[in-house]
Amino acid sequence: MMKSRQTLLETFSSFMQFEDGNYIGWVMAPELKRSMEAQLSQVDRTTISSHFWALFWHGEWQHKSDPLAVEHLTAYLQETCYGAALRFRSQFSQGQFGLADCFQLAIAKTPQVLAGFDPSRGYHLSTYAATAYSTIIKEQLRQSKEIDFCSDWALLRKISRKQLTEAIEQAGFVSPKTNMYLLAWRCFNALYIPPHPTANRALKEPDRETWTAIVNLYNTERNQQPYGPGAVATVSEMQDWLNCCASWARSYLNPAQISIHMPLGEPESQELGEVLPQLQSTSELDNLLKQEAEGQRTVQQQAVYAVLAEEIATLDPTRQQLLKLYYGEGRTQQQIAAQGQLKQFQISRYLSRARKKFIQALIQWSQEHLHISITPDIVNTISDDLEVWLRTFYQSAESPIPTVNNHES
Amino acid sequence: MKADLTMSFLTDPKHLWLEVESTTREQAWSQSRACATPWARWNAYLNLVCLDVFLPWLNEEHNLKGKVWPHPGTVLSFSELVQGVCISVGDLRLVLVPSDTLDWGRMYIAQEWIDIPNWIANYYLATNLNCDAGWLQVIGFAAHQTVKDCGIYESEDRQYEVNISALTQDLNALWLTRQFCDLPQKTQVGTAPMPLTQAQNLMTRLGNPAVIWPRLSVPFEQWRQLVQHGGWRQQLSDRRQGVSSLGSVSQWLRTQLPEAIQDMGWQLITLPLMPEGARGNDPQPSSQILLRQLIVAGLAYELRIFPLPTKTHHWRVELHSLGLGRSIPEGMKLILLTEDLQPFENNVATASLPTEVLGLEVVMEPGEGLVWQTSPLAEDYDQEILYF
Repeated sequence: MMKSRQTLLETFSSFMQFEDGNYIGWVMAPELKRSMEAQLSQVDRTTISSHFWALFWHGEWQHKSDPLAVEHLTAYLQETCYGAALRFRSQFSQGQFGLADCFQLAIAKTPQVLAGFDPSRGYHLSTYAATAYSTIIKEQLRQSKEIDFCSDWALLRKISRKQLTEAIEQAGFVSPKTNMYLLAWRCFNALYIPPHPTANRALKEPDRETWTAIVNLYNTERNQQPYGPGAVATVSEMQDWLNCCASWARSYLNPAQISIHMPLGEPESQELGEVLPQLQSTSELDNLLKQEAEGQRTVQQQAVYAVLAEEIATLDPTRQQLLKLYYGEGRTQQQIAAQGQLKQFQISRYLSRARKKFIQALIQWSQEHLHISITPDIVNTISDDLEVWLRTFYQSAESPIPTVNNHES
Repeated sequence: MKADLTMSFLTDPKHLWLEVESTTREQAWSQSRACATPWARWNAYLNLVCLDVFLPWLNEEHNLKGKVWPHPGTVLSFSELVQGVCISVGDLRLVLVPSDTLDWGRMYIAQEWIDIPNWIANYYLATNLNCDAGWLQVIGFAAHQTVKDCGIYESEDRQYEVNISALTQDLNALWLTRQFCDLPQKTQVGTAPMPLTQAQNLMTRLGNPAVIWPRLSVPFEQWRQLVQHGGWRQQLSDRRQGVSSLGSVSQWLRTQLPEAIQDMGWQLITLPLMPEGARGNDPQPSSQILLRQLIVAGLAYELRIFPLPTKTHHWRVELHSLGLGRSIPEGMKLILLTEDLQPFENNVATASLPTEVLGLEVVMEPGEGLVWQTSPLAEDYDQEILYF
């Protein structure tokens, strides 16, 4: 059973440890501990909530003023990420990937989560990260499923040039060797397509005639390469190169690999020594506190919930039930579809329609109460935030959830 | 449909997610056969599937009248040259950017859709197709300016890479933006094409299907000047696909309209009345005329082309307003240009007062090409070359 961390010092300086895929405890990173202690010692800030510290470190991370900021935030988000992994495991039975795998592939993407978080939107980093991590896990495992289905030849057709470039580099090659592989792949991709529209994953090796065409194209194009003409290729060389590309692509795209390549906590190469926190950091935190931002945000959040509650009440009971199952109980679209004997596409469509209604109501509310003229940015922001609002709305005990009739769909 | 394991993960309600029936896939596959190279065929297949699934959904769900831009007959000609397909909804233009790769974190948009003035759209929609499992997912959209600001230009493939984090994920936001924000829409016409002989040389070279990547085979500026011209773009892909020439207006008047010309909206009719512009009591050997409807600034017009029977090689082009008692508003223009879009003497008819008809007379040698245009531009305008 996982034990939550108690102190702020622990929360921002320690990482989860796993052994054989199981949680075994927390380990403190000395460098982070020193850095966090220094921050905590400046003023008596032990009473400040972890949410504020998260905003503080996020600000530092955004301004690139403290290289340790990303580490502190990664430490802070450990439980959030673990929770997302746990929820995923309970929703989907994925024998192939254990809890620790899911956790590690998601936590490795923390910089992506931090980049997506906008502190001015009024919700906590951990709330945002919970949704973001869970999306990351799902996307990664969906990708891994897709890769498992694909033959080598199908995989070569499904990888982008950018991904293949990174895969070749990960395998240890540099230009002009990288260029040779990329050109071979380009020629393959231009001339070889599946023979049927619906069976791409099982794509077989090209026939002799196609191989010859690919090699001919390569031998013509090699003269126009920025690194100068490479040697003339033969069919068997071309086959070898593309086989290599496929195997590099497979290991590059495998999420388990990603987590192995991304160490947890601080990268060892980045030894920072006794870097003391900068003074301007202090004033930033103080500013943050002065704004009393949390108070204001809560008021606005309550208003958002009231608008949502009103809109939800106008939906018919089966739709209300659907939203409750989805956002409140965390059922998947597939589970809800199965229960109501519907297609998953239909559930997706219902949810999308409900979202449209909510966004529309929130825009109108903003127009009337905040007296702002609506810009595309505002619409985008509302649509981005809605997901977090809905989840919090349905999962928070204080939110004014309207009574739902027990009308089963 | 058989359940697919990858589907169970598709749970983000922000993303639009549509089913792709196997008949849709089969149909698109068979249509794509016309393309000259395997790459172009696959590209056309993805474009067609994306279009066949998205467009009906759009029109049904949002009660809109979206259609292929500039017209449905152009999908294969665009697909032969570049990835992506454009639809117009009134004055709004959207480019669907289909992908069937595993690179779900990025959208790659061909430079043509961003940097050729008359190809530019308001929004670009990133879609992910899984042809095996039978679904299409709209991951998000970006406005033209967003692509310019946040996209990374990749010179090797001449495309813009936009990270998914720069996209708005819920497509609902697009329609609501239209509803709540007052945004002027601009349509631009292509400018500064290349001289005719240069265009013809390029078409000969790039029209050979052995040139696998025509869009990357010449500098972008040259390529832009060539394909921004609707007529040349069509001719280039026709050459690659081995489509024979569609003939001339004179031939059509004698026989019948080729299907591709009908797809553009042209029809042949016999008018009971003598067309305006014919002189005096001249006998009318044929009152067959070529005509098509246009929408300019939301109103319907008709463009008519017919030979003047008494003078060889003399043709008359007329713009009529449609609708009872409605006239052509002051300031509106009918413009005729040479094949390479050059003006010539007496090539513009302007309504100096509200009028019923705007007309121009031209002398066309056999084999000479003409491009018509209106000002303001007609809805979904795309240059077309008419040979006489």
